[in-house]
Amino acid sequence: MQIADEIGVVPPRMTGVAGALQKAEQWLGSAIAAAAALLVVAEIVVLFTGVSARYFFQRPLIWSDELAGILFLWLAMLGAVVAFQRGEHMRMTALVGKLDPRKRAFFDVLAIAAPLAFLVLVLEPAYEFASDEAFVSTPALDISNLWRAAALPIGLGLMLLVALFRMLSSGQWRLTATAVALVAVVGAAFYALSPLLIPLGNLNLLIFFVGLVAVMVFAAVPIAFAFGLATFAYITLTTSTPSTVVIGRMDEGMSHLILLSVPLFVFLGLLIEMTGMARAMVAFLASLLGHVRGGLQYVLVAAMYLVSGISGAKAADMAAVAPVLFPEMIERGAKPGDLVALLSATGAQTETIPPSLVLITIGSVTGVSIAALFTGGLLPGLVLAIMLCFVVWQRYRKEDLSHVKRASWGEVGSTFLVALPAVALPFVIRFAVVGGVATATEVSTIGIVYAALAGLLFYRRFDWRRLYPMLTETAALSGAILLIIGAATGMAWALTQSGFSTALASFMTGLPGGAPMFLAVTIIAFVVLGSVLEGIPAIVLFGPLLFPIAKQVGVHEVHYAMVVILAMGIGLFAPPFGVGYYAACAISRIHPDEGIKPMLGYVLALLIGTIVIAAVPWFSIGLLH
Amino acid sequence: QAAPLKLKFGNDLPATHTVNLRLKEAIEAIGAETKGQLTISLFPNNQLGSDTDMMTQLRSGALELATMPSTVLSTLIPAASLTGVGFAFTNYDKVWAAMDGEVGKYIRGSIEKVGLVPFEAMWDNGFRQITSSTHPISSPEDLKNFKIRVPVVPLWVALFSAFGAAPVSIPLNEAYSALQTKIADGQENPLALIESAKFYEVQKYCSLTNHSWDGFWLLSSQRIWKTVPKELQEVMQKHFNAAARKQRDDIVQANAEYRKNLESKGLAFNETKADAFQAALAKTSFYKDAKTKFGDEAWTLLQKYAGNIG
Ligand code: NA
Ligand code: NA
Repeated sequence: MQIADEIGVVPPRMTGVAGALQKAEQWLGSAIAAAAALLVVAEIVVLFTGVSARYFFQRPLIWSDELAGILFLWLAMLGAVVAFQRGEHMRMTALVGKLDPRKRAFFDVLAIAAPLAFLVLVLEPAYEFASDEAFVSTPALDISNLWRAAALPIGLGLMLLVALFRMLSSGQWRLTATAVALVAVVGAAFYALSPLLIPLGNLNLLIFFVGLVAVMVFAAVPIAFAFGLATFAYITLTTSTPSTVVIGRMDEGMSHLILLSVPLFVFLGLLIEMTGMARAMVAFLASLLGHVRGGLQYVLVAAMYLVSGISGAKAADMAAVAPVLFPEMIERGAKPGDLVALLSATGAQTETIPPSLVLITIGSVTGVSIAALFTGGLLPGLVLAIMLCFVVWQRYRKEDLSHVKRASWGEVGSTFLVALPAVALPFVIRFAVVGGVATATEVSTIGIVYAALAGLLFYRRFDWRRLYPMLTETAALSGAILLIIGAATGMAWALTQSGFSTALASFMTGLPGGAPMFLAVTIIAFVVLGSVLEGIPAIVLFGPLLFPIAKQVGVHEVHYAMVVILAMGIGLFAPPFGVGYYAACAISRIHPDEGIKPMLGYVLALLIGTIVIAAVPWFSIGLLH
Repeated sequence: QAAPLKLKFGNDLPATHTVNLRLKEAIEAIGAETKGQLTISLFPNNQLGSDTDMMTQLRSGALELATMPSTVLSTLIPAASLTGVGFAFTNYDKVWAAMDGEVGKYIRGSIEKVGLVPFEAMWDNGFRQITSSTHPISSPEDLKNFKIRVPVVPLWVALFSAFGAAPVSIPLNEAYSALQTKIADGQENPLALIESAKFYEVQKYCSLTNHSWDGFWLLSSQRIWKTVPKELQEVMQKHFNAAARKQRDDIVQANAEYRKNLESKGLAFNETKADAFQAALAKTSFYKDAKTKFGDEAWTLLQKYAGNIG
């Protein structure tokens, strides 16, 4: 976890007014971090109580999900504040990193000034949104929905406060003034131009969601705020839609209960590391595969393939794997950039492996059998895994392993015994899901209880002092990931309501060239759509429009589903716009810049794999009867 | 001549659901009659957000039109769930008499108070049925300790708890997996959804319990509606209300087809007697609690159509 601080900008210690502000900011920061840490604990307790009541006592608690959901929005928002304070919101600094330090310092201040603009703009809509929710009551607990919705204005308000503190305590008055002025001028220019923008219609989608987003992303504005600002600007300047919708969409995007498994798996990963289980597990794998070049990389690919069958949510899968394997892999000399690229690539590769939420979504919006999709998705995932492994082999075949001694079978055996409780964990988790003990959302809590017990009783390693930092780290990480997902959901809404999907679908219907052409255009379209629409929304929007066309040109629906999912996955997990890529970076605590170059080879492999799947229907439908 | 008015219409139903098929027709008819002065784009399948979020969007004016199930609406307007009281309506005659009559009027009155505009004719979602992977539900006793996935609607949770079942809360998009891994033994929904969500792939029995009826209100946002010229309002009312009445017949026909189709896919159907369930329910405090919740006025109206249920 030594790379964490690179992302944040740690300000120097100040004196005078700036010093007092810095103190106040630190005090506020620790208070929020403490609340967020408490929320993580509360989530674990609530979900585990829910599982126990249902499975062990046969008395399900109808309110446990709802309570977990309410706490979750608070956790996401407060976590986002903690991440903001620590400068841990994902940004792309590949370009600004090449500048000299003085110019780069300007962009670091801009990375606070642009979010500040977003926060100032949305504070009032957030307040209005929350006050409107006061009249809605939650179904299970029958309390005012304000208990939940208040998290949005309060979280955004606290972030605004932290942003102000950070700017004022930096002491770089001229840089700060310039950055704020730049943001204000650009904003005013857009505002002044809005009468000219409205008649442009859907061309505005390109201006705001391609142009403006790209400029902000490459100027190293944190991704979540780049998405948020573009969406807010588009909505307010080119439509008559009230801006509260941006907040409403953020709310829904961050509230899918399955996403709760993200922080819980992150915490599980930290716990596994802290108790020494990770070390034991990796020691065993290393004794088994350490003499193989790229051995642990193959383990990573295999682990993602297996884990992906459990949760159905990709960010959760990555959170279950990366924290266990990465520290050890980096210690053994793997490059962080290559690791995060491989992790992100496996995210795309495993999209078709059941029980993927994407498959369930396709099944319900298009009428294809979900069971058939579950069967059909197994081989395409494998084909892509082989493609990725080929790149791994290519990259590591010259790895110098002269210092590594091949372990004897005796050593393998003894490391296996020590690792047994740790190696059993994935099986415990798998059994809990397949055996109907817990849902994908809840199962991480079973893992947490298991890991805590194994740490306390078997490994006798449980550092209580590390627990609190682990909890705040979990909260900050979840906040950073969820804020991006929330902002991307708002962006997807803005695109959807414009009605551009029908135009694109009719364009694709009119293409000459039959099935091959249709599949080729599908791949290109879904790589782009997956990138800008954040995965599942792309499926919901285009599935019902394109599946009938696929049938017309003679492509089997399950085959088509696989092509669509894999292409969408490439877009979702490829930089610079893919949300999944930033989730991978956040989870593995590796800076987004590092993974871009190594990612090229993997994306190429995924693309070739997808073309193979498109060209050979057998991989998708061969196992169906 | 004013610029053409563009409205968005959202819902949470598949594009092929009878509601959306009839909506498409009505929207075309509206476009034709208003000569392009009014264009409505339909966004099915949750494209603009979940029902809960679309309700918020409607109130703020971000979304102009939507069909909203009573159950979701009831988180804002408790009276809306009056139609979903367990074993109250035993057939469609009672349902439509009530909804086109005083019960409907009473609920529309409550809807208008919260910044929403209800269209007069309500749309059909269908009677709800129970599917199971363990045993068919033929009598109230079969529900004892039955782990059933229920949408978190207080009235339905109370209903199944009253029968001694164990209601489980699981989001709809995870229900398929939960039924497959037996986290829940069964679930309950109208046949249309049992078909579209593919629950027949992971369930064995379908018991026609008709335990509750639910419909959709076609709603507009008050903030938007008052800006729509009167003559356009009237065209919309005419076509949408007519479409709703046609859709009611569609569902009756579609249900017969759904059943045939689901049977061919391996679901074993059984019919049940509503009287037995109603009598068992009357022995519990279910109806008494519901009456307290809805108030005397609403309850009297309901009983006028549903009969003396307790
Ligand atoms: Na999966
Ligand atoms: Na994106």
